[in-house]
Amino acid sequence: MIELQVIDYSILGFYLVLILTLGIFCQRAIKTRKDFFLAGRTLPFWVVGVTLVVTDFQLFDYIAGAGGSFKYGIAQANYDWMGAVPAMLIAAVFFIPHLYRSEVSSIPEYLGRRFNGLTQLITALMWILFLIVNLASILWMSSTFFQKFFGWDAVYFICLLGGFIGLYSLIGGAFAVSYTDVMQFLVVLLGIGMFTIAVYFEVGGYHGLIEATEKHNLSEHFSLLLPHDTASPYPWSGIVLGLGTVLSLSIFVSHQVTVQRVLGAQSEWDAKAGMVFAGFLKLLIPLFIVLPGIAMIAIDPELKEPQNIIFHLMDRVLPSGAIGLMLAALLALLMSSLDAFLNSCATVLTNDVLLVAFKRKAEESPKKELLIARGSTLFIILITTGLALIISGVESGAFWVLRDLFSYFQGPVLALIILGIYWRKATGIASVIGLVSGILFTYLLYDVAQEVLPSENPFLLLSVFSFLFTLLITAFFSLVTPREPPEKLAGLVWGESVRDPRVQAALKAKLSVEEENL
Amino acid sequence: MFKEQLVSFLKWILKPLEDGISALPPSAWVLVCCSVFGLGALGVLFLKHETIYRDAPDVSSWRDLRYWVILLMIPFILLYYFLGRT
Repeated sequence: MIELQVIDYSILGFYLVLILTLGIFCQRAIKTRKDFFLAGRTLPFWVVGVTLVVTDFQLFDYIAGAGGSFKYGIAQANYDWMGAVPAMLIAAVFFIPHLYRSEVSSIPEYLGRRFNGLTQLITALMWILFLIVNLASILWMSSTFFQKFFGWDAVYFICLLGGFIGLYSLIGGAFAVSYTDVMQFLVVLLGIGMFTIAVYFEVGGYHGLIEATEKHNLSEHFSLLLPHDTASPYPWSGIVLGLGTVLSLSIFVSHQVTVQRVLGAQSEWDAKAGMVFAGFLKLLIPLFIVLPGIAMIAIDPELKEPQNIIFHLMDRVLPSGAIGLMLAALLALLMSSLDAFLNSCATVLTNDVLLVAFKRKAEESPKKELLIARGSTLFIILITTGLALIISGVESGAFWVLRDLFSYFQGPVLALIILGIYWRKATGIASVIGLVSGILFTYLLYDVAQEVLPSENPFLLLSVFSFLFTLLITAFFSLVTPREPPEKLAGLVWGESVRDPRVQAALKAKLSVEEENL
Repeated sequence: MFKEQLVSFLKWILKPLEDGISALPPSAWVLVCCSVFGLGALGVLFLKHETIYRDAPDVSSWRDLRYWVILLMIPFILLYYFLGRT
């Protein structure tokens, strides 16, 4: 167990007060539901970029990633490089402009407007379920780690952390989530950066790392790409064809939490630039994750529990005070993801379930809408905190279960977004059939994946098949069902402005005015 | 019964793909990965000026996202080239 001194608690306390103050300060900007969920669409590109990266970089990515690097080496870095950057670029160029201009608040809302209410409801319910399970699991799992290594009572930890995140998210909404994320990112850079440097020198720098891997015959630990039939979960083919395509696109194109951060941008340019800026920050992240994992080979190559590497190294290399800063950084990783998940879950619940159920009567009154938004946030934090207290015995294995659960419906939703934006013939009925059959197919495929696909954990390729299946089924049924009326597609489908007579008339009028001026 | 049929069907579909991928040498893996980033950098060069600057507060050259993307892709190409297969 890591002993904390007064100075560590002081640093931690100062950090928490700072976050809470910032969250409360953001309350002044909240006037409507859009302010609460999309920060009033006022975020500059650098805030969008930072919040994207820090939301995606979760505490368990860090802990499990360091463990993965210990076992498999730098191939772990693919999650933040090949598994993120190309998809960010594709999202910035081909998808974010459409989603931003359609002025939606959520992915289910886009699908509802483009296809039908049933598609909106199914995806909304899946997102709510997924985010609640995620929130509760992360709360529970983090409590077990903090209890084991710092001696903090798990029940108190869950209640206090849930209450703390709930408080500033409830008060400051998306403004608080985004601007505290910037603060959290600085704390992460400072705390984890310092820790990484300390670990690097502890093992004798670059030569120490090379010596350790060579001594234990682990030279493949410095390869980003592993063979197709590798015993690790990272075959190069899975990284390129699965992670680099469908899985990463589903995170940056159709993931509610990620896309919502971008939809809060102050302009379409800021939304796109935020995505690209996040790509630059992504360069750094694997350094933080991979280096401690490989360094542990030099310290204890026989380590039985790789998921505990970060805590073992903290105890070994950091003095008092620095431990407090590192602890603040770990909490920053945890809170930056949890607050974004909470805000997104409340967005979907409010926007795609409650306001639809109330037939949008509340739209007449922004105050009423805001009240519903805050009520949803409170409801979700109570539910997830309660659920976190109830669930037990999941331990680190839950990380993999969650990741599998994630791939179940991400492929199908991505297929619908692509067809929705780029194929005007895609119909509402076909979207429902494609979505439901796609999810069922993924479950079925998951059951047989180990027998059919290579590698230790074939989840990377699973997403590709679920995506392709949904794409084909939806395309087929779109061709045999009645087309959507053109007025329904206005502003939601690529190239629609070319066919829209109102847009063409406006462009002609503008052209004639310019000609007259000339 | 259905599960067995599904497994054999998927194996039949995936076999040629599996064989093809397994036969590729490590240099091809590196080439594929570098190409992903390289094509990204090349692709943005074809984007129109108005697409890049749409909704931007001004058209200063630092806001040209094409430069950003090219700058972003270079380190990734180098990383995958040198660390792809050591």
